[in-house]
Amino acid sequence: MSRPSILFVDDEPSILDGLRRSLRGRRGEWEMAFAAGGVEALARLAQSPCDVVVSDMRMPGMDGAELLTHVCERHPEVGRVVLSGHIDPDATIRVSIAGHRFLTKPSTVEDLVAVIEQMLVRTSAGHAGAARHIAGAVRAIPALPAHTEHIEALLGPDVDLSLAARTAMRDVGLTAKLLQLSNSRFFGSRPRNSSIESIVHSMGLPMVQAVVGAAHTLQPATGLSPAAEEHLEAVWRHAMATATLVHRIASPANRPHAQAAALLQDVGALVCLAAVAGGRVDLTARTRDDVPFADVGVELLHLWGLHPPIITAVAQRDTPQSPDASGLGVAASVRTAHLLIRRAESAGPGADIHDEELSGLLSHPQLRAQALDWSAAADEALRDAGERPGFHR
Amino acid sequence: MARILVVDDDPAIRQLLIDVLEMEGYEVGIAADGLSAVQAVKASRPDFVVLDVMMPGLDGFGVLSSIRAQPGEPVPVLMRTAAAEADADARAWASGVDYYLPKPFDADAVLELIDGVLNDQAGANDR
Repeated sequence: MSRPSILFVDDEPSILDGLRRSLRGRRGEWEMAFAAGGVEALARLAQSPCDVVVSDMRMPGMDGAELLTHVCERHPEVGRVVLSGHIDPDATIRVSIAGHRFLTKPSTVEDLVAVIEQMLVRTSAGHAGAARHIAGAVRAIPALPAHTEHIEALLGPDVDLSLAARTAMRDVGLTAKLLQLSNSRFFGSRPRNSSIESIVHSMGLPMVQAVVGAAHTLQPATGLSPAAEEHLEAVWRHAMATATLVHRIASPANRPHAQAAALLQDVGALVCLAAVAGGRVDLTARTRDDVPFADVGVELLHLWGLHPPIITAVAQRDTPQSPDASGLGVAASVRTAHLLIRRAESAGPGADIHDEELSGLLSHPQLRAQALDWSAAADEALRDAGERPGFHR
Repeated sequence: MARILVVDDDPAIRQLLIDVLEMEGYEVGIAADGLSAVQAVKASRPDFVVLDVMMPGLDGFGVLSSIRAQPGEPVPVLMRTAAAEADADARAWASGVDYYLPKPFDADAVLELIDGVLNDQAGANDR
């Protein structure tokens, strides 16, 4: 197997020289190429595609956002990393849509290497290349048609931070985008925690609105078949109900990650059906071009650099969990909420509901201590999600 | 590297945990009683707290409720106790711990749990 190849793009020769020098130690592992601008980078990619592109933002002619947009369209499987100093607000917004990962200059070599190494990993065991190809093409994830008015309302003048946070917490695509951006200083001060509310507050309303606007313009969910739309509404309701319920299941420090994972549990379906055009979709098998929606979703969250506990919980949603007595953690909390909601959806215990596993999870001391009627709590969460097809309280 | 606050009134246990955790590269802070623990969490926002239940003065439950009342991200808390109090585990879970080790003190079990939690947290995006 050939070595992974990384392409670095910067118009300043001294920066490229610096990268070449400081990454000398990686020569054994990586094939490295250097390009002095966007046009040269695209020409190189056309000849021999690479695995990851690391690009500066401010370059004469084609800037970083434009380059990465072309890379996304022509070579979606290539990881897109921005490495840049201060950039203006307009460019910040454009790059928030075009890039996968965002590093500020100066970054340590260790940080850069860590990000590149992560992007070389493909999460799908059976469909590594195909899942990367679909997930890599995503720049923004659309809202469902029934929800777009709420997203559009966010762009209006009468919006405050708490409405923005409440709307974001009910939108899969916006939640994923905000979590993606929250790791980088490009997009505001570092949030105090990984809850959507905290991220929205640290980004500030103008930045959130600009990102929402850019994502929405790029990617309105149009042309969905009625069956696809119905499928997505159902998985959205399930995700919302799971996120509500998991708030009562997960421990305080695990709650933000658990709620994010619950909301994002079926992000792969949204990507496969609405975010990336084309493909042969099978709604019963939940595949696109024979790649499971779930594999695409996990690959996307990985590419976007979401926190590992979120990715793990999404990846393990359909894996039976048997947490030890020391605590449920994020993944078992999400799985428990998911199974409870599924049982509530099918109105009672049933063959396919993993009753035995669920009763084991519910008898965990962490949950027993709450002495809650979990079936009633699940019914309530599901009712709440169903009664609000939009997402304003 | 992640910063861990060890809260225990027993110097021998504190030292054991310091040794084990520092060997793994963690930065370890200590608090020998409940009040210093609450102040230390407020002042330094550790990444993880290992909290003993039985302490004179403000005990583990008191510490937990004080730090849960502090604003900002809830710090992950592992509560541990050697005491065989019948309702200690129910009480611990009801008061909002994230992890609980009721067994006799076992530094390796503490380390294994912390490694599992913190290594799963480590994102490498521009940190």
